[in-house]
Amino acid sequence: MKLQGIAVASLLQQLQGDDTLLLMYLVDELPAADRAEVERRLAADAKLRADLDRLTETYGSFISDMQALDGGSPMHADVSAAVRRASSAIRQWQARPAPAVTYGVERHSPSRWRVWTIPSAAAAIVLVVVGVSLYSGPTPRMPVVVVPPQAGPQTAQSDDAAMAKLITQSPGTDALAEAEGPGFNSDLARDESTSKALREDAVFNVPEP
Amino acid sequence: MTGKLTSMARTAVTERTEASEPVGIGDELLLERLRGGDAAAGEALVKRYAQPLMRYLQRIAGEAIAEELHQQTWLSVLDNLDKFDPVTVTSKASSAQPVSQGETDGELTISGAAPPGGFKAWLFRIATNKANDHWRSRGREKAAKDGLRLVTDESLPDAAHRLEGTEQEQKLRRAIDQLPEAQRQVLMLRYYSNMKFVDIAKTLGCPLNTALGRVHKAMIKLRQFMET
Repeated sequence: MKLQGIAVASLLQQLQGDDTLLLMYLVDELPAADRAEVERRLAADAKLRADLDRLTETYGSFISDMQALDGGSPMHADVSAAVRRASSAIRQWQARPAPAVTYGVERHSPSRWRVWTIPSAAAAIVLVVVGVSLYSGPTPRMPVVVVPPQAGPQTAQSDDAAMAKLITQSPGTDALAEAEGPGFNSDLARDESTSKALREDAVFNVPEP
Repeated sequence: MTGKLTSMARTAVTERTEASEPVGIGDELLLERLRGGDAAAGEALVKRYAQPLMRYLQRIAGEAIAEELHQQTWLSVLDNLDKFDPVTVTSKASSAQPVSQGETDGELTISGAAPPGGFKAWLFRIATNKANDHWRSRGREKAAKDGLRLVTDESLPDAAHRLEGTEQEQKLRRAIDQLPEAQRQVLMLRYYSNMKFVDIAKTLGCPLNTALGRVHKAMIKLRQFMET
């Protein structure tokens, strides 16, 4: 039953019935404005005052009974045991090893670090391979190192022979050369296709963070 | 007469409040130290709330399981330490399901910011969740919904306690045990945590009027039982 004729405040609107309103009043948890309203109502309503008296007695008896119940059943041993167990848990928690810190990288659980290790190593290998292939293969995009004139013809010839040997020994070179026609740098094509394949493999296999 | 009785009731509440309120370093400061690795700060918090928390768990879940629930509560505090924010109020906590329906989802509702009332409210909320989890695992919630009172070994005081205390104390203990779960929980939470009803309602995820109604009904039932 809602209170009638009372300008409701924010808290009063939540309270339905005299019992809940009086309980809030009894424990002094009403805002000042609400409290003033209730006191005004109490002053004018004898039944409401009687309800408050009964509630006060009931609440007081409950408090007293609970205090007697707790006082009559000491639990020092129980509390001490509980405190010991919880304190032990806190010490274990405090002593746990801290996760590894990597500067500039968000901290992850150990399992996630293991997941990252292999793809990271694969990516590093790919970069090395690409770098080596780009450096070793003759390509107009690569910077040309000018050999000084002091280099003897014998050295140049040995370099050319070594390069020729390397090209002829590359697998699939003849097939590629035939497929692409003359002038095609089959060795470069093979390296580029291999590098591309490795890059693609690395891209598709590196898990996202 | 009204004023005198009201004053008496308030005094009883105030005295218990002053006796139970911790002094010294505040909860949030101890919590901050605990986050920084200060185990002693954590132990201080444990000692501060050990008695009311253990009493609360004994009353709502039984004496045999109270210590285990106390331990689970603090383990959960440690697990969720980084998520506790005494300033922010989470929508999850305020919109959690009512306790009587047993739909609180444990850590999910406590992850994030703390409910109003600071660390104490958060602590008792966790403890309540643990007790509810225990209830669900034992099937007592279903029995309560079916209108049965499932009395297990955990709900009965053990033999040693049964012989202790006066007849009135034993009677009150039985009366508390026979209260409906939701009423017992709110009443005991109010008594042992001394939280404001507004905070209790938000902590348990029920309307203020519901929390007050449960307390009022519970007190009436206790009194009726004690007078018989």
